[in-house]
Amino acid sequence: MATLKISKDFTEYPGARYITDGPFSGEAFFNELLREKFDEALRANVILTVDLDDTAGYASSFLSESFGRLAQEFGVDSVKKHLKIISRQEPDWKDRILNDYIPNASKRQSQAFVNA
Amino acid sequence: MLKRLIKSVLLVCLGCAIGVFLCQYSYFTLSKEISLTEVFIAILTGIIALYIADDLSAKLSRTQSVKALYTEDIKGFIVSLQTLENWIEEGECSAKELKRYLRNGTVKINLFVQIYGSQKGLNTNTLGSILNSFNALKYDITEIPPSSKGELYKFNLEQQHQFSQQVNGLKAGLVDAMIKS
Repeated sequence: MATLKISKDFTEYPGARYITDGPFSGEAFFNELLREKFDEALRANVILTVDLDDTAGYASSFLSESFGRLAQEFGVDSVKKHLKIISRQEPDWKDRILNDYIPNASKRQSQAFVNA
Repeated sequence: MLKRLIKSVLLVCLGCAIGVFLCQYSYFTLSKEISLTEVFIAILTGIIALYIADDLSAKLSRTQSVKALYTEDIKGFIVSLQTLENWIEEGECSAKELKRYLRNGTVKINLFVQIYGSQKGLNTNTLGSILNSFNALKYDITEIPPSSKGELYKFNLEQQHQFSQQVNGLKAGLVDAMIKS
């Protein structure tokens, strides 16, 4: 099992959605860390555990962007099969990611495209 | 002190008066013999009655203390919402502070659910919907793209109105939780 702890491996202060929004964005997290780690886990056929605890708090845009992109690139089923989320301090983020951001990733992307 | 003494004397007098009154009626007889079984039953009944009264009183007192603590915690949470209201009213706030504030809010309500949810005699049914409302506000407010290289969240008039409404709804829910507890 592979593990990715955001507070330790990325930042204690996660930012917003896009790289243009400022440092430590969801887009940067996906590009720099999440995509690579998930790909490795997929190749090794193990589960990637992403630990959300011990940061100073998340923006919903950060999580929807990073996990939404993950689902778009690797497919919803594959992500659901090989991803485990730990969020003891804010358990609602886990539900939100697994039941909204990942399954609705394609809808979100088309909405963002329309808004742009 | 004097009042207590007078009260005791009056009670003794009342007891004597009732005794004399009862002895004057022929259909009441006073037996000179006392059955040990009856004495034992009377003492036992008295002890059980005292125990039940004491236990009920302790339980009631405990429930009242827990309810007072719960109410205090909810009040504290309502007061803490003022910070969020000020940010919304000002139209901007630090992104880091807002995210930390919202995170702490979720942690706090989850803690209330854990601590008070299992307490007997305390109605905490509304805490679940309060948590959902708070989290909905958290999702909506942090969905806004930040300004100043991610340092600030700025709210336009429409957003200010929407978030104020959500905070007011939360407050109403919290007051309702106190009333229904």
